[in-house]
Amino acid sequence: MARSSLSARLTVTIFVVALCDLAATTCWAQSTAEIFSRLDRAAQSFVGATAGIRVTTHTGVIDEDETQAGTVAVKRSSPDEIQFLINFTGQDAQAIALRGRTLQIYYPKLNTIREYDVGKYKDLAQKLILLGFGMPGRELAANYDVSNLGAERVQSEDSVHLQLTPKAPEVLKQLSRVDLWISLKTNCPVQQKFYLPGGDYRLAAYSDIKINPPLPASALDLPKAAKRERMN
Amino acid sequence: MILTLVGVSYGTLDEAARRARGVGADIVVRPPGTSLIAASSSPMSEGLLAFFMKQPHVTFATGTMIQPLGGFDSLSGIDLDQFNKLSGGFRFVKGHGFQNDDDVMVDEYYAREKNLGVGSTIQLMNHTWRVSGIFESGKLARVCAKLDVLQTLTGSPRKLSQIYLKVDDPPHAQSVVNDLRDKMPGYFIYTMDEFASLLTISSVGLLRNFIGVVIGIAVIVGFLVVTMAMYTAVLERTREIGILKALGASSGYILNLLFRETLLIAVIGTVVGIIMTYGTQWLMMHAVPATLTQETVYEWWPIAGAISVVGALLGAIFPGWKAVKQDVIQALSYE
Repeated sequence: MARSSLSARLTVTIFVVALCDLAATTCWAQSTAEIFSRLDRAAQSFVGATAGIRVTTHTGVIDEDETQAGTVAVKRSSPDEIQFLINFTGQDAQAIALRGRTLQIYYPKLNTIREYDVGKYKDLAQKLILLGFGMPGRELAANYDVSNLGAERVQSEDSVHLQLTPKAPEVLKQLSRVDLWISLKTNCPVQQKFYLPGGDYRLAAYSDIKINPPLPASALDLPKAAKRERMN
Repeated sequence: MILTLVGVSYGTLDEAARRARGVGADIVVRPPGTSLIAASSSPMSEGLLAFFMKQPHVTFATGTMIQPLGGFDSLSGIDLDQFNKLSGGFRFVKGHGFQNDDDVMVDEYYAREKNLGVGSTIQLMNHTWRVSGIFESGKLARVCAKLDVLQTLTGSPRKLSQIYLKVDDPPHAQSVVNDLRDKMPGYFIYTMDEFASLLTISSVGLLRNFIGVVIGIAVIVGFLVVTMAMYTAVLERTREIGILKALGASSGYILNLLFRETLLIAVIGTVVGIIMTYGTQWLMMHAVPATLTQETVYEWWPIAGAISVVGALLGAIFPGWKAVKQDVIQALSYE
């Protein structure tokens, strides 16, 4: 008698757990779709953004972190093009800007801007370095297998944690995974974590994000007086 | 043209391989191909050196930073003491190693090309450097600066572009490489022999395409030149062709004459071309010894000859057809 009661209770428990699991899966699926449609809407009105940036580069085999901090300004120059300027300050001061297919790196101590034609990697540079800024959800879904890891509070912001696995094999060879925390308030990333082969990663955390602030054309300019060198 | 450009391609790669071997390392480690995300050409941490030193059979590790200067030139940042331990030291033709932070050492070819002597100043990366020494070519790079200075100037403290390892016994190099590849997937880790073997035309896609384009251009140019020359020859010899035909010469006989002449032109052209490659080699050696190195690539002589003959024979087809189709009476009355 006791045995059959125990068995019935176990069956009910398994059934309830399975039901909850199913409900949870459905719920996550819905919220991922919801996030994508929210990102789609946000991308339509996205013109630009400014934020503070802190990049931690982790070298896996020696378990070492190196940090760079600065500011970032992003601007949509045309429906398909994002321009940006990342300005690192401190001991490793340098600035990185992307204009069309030209990646520019400014070395303040040399007062030099080195220009690289990123050519066929232009899209990769645009969509990877500042992944999530003004990016529609459908684009994320097109380029990555997306898993929704749920809500998390990061950088004092409520955000949703997405795990992206690149679909393109050539990207996958160099980037095994990207974790993206999208702010529920701004619909822009508060944190990105790029997992590189060999246990290395690059973690970019954004703070004080301002969406569509007044951004004059000069906001993304590198110093005009700097010497320019064409590298390729 | 083919032989000169092929010679430059081979020469440049062989020179790079020779300098890589001159480092004296058994293993070379390069960063994963993710520099675009980091937007840096030197993304490896100096902390890796200590990690490598702890690996079985590894007796020494040192790193360099490479800053491209445009074209084929680059500036390598080295820790001179560490590098000397690895390579056995530079052999100075004039001067000595670094004394001040803004010192650079250049190899004899670079010094000759840029007309530099010890104490000369040179502007590289928008920074003024002083030449402290001129060394015998064949070690690592043509221009070297202090590693920490280059790291500071480029805002990349403690960052490296390449790491060199020495093992206790060279036959152990491959097992160390295999072990490191397991521990550091994504990093490019090679034995020095493997690395040098990558510096070949077939491994460098850009050069392979470049040579393909050069051959294509050479065939087209050869075809056009021979077409023009033989067409003019046929026009000039209209009367002679008419006389031959009147005397009963067949179309095959006339074609045979023209093609033999074309073949002779192609063979003479090939021989002259081969001789001219020695001229361009001399010119490069004296005018731009650091930038361009041309080798004599003997295995390309028959290839270039065949390309020249094929291009010329193709070019002779139309003039030959024109000669064969000439009317005897009109040809005889041609003034």
